[in-house]
Amino acid sequence: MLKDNETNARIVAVVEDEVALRENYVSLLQDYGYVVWPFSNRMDAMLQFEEKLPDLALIDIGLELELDGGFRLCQQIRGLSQSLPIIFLTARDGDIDTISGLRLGADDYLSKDISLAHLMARIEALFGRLERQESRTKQDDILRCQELELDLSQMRAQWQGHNLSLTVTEFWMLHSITQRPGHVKNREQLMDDSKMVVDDSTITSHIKRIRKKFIQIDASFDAIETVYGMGYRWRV
Amino acid sequence: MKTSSKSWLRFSLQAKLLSISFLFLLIPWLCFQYVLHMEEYLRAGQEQVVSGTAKAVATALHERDELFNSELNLLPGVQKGRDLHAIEVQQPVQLDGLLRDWKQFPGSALVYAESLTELAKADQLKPFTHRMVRYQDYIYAAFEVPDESLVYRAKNALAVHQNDNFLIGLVSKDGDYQRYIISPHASGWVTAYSLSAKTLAYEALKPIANIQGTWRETRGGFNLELRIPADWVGDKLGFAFYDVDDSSSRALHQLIGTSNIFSASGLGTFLTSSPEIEKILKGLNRANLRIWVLDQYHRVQAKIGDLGQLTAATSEPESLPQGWLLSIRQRVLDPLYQLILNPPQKDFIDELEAVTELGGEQVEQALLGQSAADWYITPDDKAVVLLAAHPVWVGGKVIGAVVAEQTTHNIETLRNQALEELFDMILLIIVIVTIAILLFARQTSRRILQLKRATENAVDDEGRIQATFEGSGDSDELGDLSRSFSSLVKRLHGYTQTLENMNARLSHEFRTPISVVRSSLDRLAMGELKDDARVYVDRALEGTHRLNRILNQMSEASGLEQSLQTAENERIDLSSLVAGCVQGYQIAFDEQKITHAVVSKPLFIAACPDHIAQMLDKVVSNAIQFALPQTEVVVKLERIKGYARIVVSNQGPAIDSENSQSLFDSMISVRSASKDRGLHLGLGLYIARTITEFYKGSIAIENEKDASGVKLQILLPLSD
Repeated sequence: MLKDNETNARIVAVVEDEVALRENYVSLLQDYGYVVWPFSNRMDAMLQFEEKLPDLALIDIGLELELDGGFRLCQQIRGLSQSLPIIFLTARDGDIDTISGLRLGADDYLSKDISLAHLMARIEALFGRLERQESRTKQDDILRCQELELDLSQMRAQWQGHNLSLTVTEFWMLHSITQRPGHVKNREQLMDDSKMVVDDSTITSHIKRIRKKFIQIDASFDAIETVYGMGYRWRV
Repeated sequence: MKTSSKSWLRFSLQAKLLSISFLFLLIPWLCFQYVLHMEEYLRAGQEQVVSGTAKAVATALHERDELFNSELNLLPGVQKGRDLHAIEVQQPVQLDGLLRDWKQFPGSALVYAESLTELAKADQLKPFTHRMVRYQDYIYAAFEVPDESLVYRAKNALAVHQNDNFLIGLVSKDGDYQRYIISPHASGWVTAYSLSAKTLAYEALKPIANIQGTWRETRGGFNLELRIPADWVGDKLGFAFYDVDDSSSRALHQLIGTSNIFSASGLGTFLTSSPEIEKILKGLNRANLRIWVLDQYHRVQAKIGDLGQLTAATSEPESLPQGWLLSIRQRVLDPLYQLILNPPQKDFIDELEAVTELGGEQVEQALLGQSAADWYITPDDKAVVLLAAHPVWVGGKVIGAVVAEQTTHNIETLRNQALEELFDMILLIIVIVTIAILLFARQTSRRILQLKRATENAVDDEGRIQATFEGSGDSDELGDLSRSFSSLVKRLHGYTQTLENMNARLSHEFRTPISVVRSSLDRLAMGELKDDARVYVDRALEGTHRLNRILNQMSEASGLEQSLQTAENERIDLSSLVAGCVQGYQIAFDEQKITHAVVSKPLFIAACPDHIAQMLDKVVSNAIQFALPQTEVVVKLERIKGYARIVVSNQGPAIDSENSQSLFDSMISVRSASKDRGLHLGLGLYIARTITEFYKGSIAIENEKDASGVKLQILLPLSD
């Protein structure tokens, strides 16, 4: 079953109980040249993961009988590896808040609404980050804006020298806002830049979470400004 | 939803129970009827007792004819007028000739007009009136005699009959016939002379000091008052007026008498109350009773007892409530009882008290040999008297009758006492029971109202279950009702929650299959497709895209509540927020002209700005959706008292004003001619209202007065 161990192809684990959806993801990922490990429940996945970890885990939250099987799987994976990229796929809007509250350590979470093209873009971006981390590329990939430092190659952000633990989506949103400080980015633009398709309130909550992460470092942070009815901008 | 409780209009449970308790008033009525029956029995008993008394007295008198006037029975008949009757009186008579003191005596004066001679024609006779009483040992007689020319006895005249004189004839107890004459020299004190009994001559024998009187001249004649020792008079007595009008001839003009006084047999009978019978009666004297003994000519032989005095013997009720109860009873109840019970009156008129003769149906029957009894009412309607009569027999002949009388006062007093005591108790019971019913009704309606309030509080104006309540622990029907309401509300609460979660659940359940479709279509689109196939794939993708947006809107609405609860309020300037938002809309909706009029002053409210912006998004996009092309959507912000007012108006189709408030309910979209610009689930206004109400504001939508468009107004309270 797992014959690709010796090749260089990256292994993506897809844990999804909906067969049709899983098969779609599997065939898509295989088309892009990934080795895919499909699982339909947490136990099967963990059995395999304990033997060998994949390069990326794509996890649905509700797994067969376990309503929050995805969360538990995430925790278990984190017990095995701190660095394995994990992406949640969720059908529930509320789940996003739950994830953030639980701070489970997922790298991203995507709505199942997302188009396959977008999904692939996100996965590619993650792997790109990993690759860049590995190859330790040039300095000019670093974007500076006031006290903010965005390392595009490693997808890392720093404020006043402290690390901001942003998810991929949050990173791209922040990047989008800071590209042209003082200019308003409307929601559509933010959505495009962060390559996700969600509703307004999801963007609002993303922005809120980003602000909170800044405020944890700097209580007086107020650089991300809401322009009601239009969008957000980086205050200059 | 809340039922307006006009308690003053309603016939409340308390009032109903109270009115039912009025039925208790039937009990006193029942008692009254019962006591009336009792009274009838008592009356029947009284009748027997009184009849029995009459019979007993009569029995004592049977075969004792010596007690009755001896010659009475021998006479063929007694003529009224001829036969004289002196009733016993208690007051002395003054022999002054004035006759004033006679008015106090019962009985009326009798008129005598029987001429004893042929001298005067009947139509020329001048009758005199006469009365007689007996006081102690004397018989008193009074005469009122009309005589235009008084002729007195000449000073030295020996003859006693050549002037106006009065003749007295009697038969003594020994049976001797005696004659006396009063022949005065002048008006004043007069003394009788005895006349020879054997002849008809007027030969005065000697003055009789025991027969004296006063002769007093009056305007039309004279009055004569006389007294005769009662011992002297036996069975017969008669008086005659010897009238002389011509003082010169001194001849007899006329002779009028009560009876023929010139022979013993011609004399009328004389009756006086019989002392012997009275003695017997005293022996039989019974309290509360008046007993008469009559001879066969209805004349009263003896009488004992008094109706008027007897009623005084009423005893006070023994067990009266003491203290304030007593005073209440005296002040309130007694006058009431007086009014209702018609208490016996002590001051009734007893018309029979002093009669000398007693008639009536019962007496007639008794004299015919049959006992009889009946009730009569005193002429002033104040008392009811029972009268029983029984014959007295001597040798198979009725020689008299005994009449016993008694008022019903004792029975009435007894009845009234019984009724009063009954009424006291019943009133006390009614008051206690009524108070108990009132308290019970109060308690019951309090519990019902409590349940009503709890039920009303459980459901809000939209019919949502807001809070459940615990049923009462009482074990009665109301407790059952309360518990079943409680469990009903709890179950409804569960159902409402299920319904409220339906949105979220539906969107969640839909998402996965839509994702399957979407990802499958994506996969299809990535591969090689013919041009016509791509068209269909694109359409399918567009469809799933729309489905997703619908789901997003639904979850936005259902997630709003949670989002509001967790929101952190801050003090924001509504004017700059609205300005910013409208700028945004101008960019976003470049086909629609949007203008705004914002007051320059900052208007601060306490709210989460995201929510206010979300609310504005909804109402403005709603307005844009229904605005006619080439028209303006106007957003106006102003300050009204303690509120900030946002008015969003557009020109376009009118709303049904009756349904204006329901427009804010979820999934309601009434306006028909909306531009098909995107989706319209009717959730926008629902979200706007939810936000407005969360911030203690209000939202209303109405048509413009000229029906050219629609005006939506939001009021939000300003912060200090």
